[in-house]
Amino acid sequence: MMMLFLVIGSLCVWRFPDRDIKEIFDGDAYRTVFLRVSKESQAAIERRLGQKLDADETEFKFYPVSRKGKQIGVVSTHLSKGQYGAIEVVVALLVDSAGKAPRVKSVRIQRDREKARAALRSEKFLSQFVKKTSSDSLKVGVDLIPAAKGAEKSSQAVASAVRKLLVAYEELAGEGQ
Amino acid sequence: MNLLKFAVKNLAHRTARTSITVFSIGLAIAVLFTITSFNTGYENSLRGQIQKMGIHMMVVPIGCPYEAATLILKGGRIPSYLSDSLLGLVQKMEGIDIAAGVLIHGIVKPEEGRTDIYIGIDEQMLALKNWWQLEGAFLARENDVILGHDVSLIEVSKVGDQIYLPEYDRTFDVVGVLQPTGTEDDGFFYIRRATAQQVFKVGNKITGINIRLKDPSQASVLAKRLENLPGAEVITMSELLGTMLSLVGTVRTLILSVVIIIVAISTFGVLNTILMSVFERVREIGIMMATGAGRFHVFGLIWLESVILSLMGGALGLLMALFASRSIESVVKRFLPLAPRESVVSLRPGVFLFCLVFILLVGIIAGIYPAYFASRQNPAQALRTE
Repeated sequence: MMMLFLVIGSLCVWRFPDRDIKEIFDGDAYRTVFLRVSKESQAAIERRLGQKLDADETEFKFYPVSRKGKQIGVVSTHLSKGQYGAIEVVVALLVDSAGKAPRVKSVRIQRDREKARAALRSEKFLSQFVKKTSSDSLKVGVDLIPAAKGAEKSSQAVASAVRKLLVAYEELAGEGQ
Repeated sequence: MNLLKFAVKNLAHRTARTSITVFSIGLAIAVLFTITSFNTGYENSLRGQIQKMGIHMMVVPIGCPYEAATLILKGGRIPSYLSDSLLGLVQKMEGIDIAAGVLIHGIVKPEEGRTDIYIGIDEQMLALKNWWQLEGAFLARENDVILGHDVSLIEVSKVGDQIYLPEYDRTFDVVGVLQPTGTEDDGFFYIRRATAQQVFKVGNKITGINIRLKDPSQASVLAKRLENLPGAEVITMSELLGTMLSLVGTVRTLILSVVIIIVAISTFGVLNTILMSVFERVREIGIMMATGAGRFHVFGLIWLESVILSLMGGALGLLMALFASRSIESVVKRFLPLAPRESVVSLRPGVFLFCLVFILLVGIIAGIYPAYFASRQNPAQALRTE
């Protein structure tokens, strides 16, 4: 059963939703859903990620995006620890009802203070995530080329955020579908 | 029989009256001791609280401080600064406890959802904000940064991490994180003032000087002196300081009123008891005088009784204060604003001595009239008294 909770709290704010849904999906609306992490789903997510969720990740916030009333994708955000401070990642997923796994449509960096910020925000680096699914390990240096030399940690922070949101969406939304 | 023994015997002869008087004096002295001790502690506590407020006044460049604050928040540069040579002058001024120069610089990037406010400080700021609790260390090196608590959460950073300032291509090492203060301090990046001056290219300028005074009641005097500094304007926390200092004055008045009442009660109590005793002993006094006692002896005897009675009451009162001061304090605290939670009554030798001298004076003053009255008796008439 899908657990939707309209509660206050988020991992990180989505700073420019109108701009993002227009540019990424050509969407015209979005709504907010909170998916609470049950003990079972937490165990499943952690097993698949190979790491523990953060203490405040007791629920995930997703934004289903629609065009003319029809859902065309989902957006979520994640606050990651970069090499020189926080990196806020916006991940846009394509989801459909045909049973295909959610896949990445676009990844954006909405806030960071990295030295290699231009490279990190570049199309060259971010386009590597497009069409990735939760079955991709998204390891920098293996599946992905780092944004720049010396930016491996921040590149991996972005990659880990993308994978976490993919897995979390599958587990939490799938739980209710 | 000497006068002392005679006086004691006379007092002991009227046990009930003497006991009641001694008890009432004792009660008055116990209250006097407690509230005098409390007043000292309360004043010290309030003054301590004022000191803990940290900043009593600020020296800023001439101009509207609100405009400066707005500019900072909008990412602008404050149009005018103070020279940090002024800081040295202020630090040397008499009456200044701590003067901490600060350089504030805001970097606002709304398109990135980022507002970084950097505060250039030195060790004086740490002394000024003595309630700060720091995880890690204070700024020692050029590239050290301390993060306010909220900043550390927003930047997911802790001691040992690095923070990059993209606009100025500068990397800082996080050496400390402030524990939550519940104030705007939680939202700032703190770097060494010299570093801030260099990074933000403002030369030897500062944005302001935060000041703590040795005696906050001297705020207006010092403010006038500080305003004479070139290009400086003074912002005082006068309203808050004034309120707290007026509290000290109000409590002092209250205590003085209570002391006056206690003086009156004690003096009239002793006077009444001794005078009653004299009235009852007119015939006895007549016999004393007829058998050779002079007026001076009679005066001395009655006066001594008054002093002994007072001292006995005083001794009992101080004993009672030892055991009941906490209860009396709790009653007093209910009527006082900003009363500290902890007990401020302490058994100070000075207050002890004050109470003893006080009651001795009460005994001396209260005994004058009865002693005079007794010494003026005519022996022949006194002997005829029933």
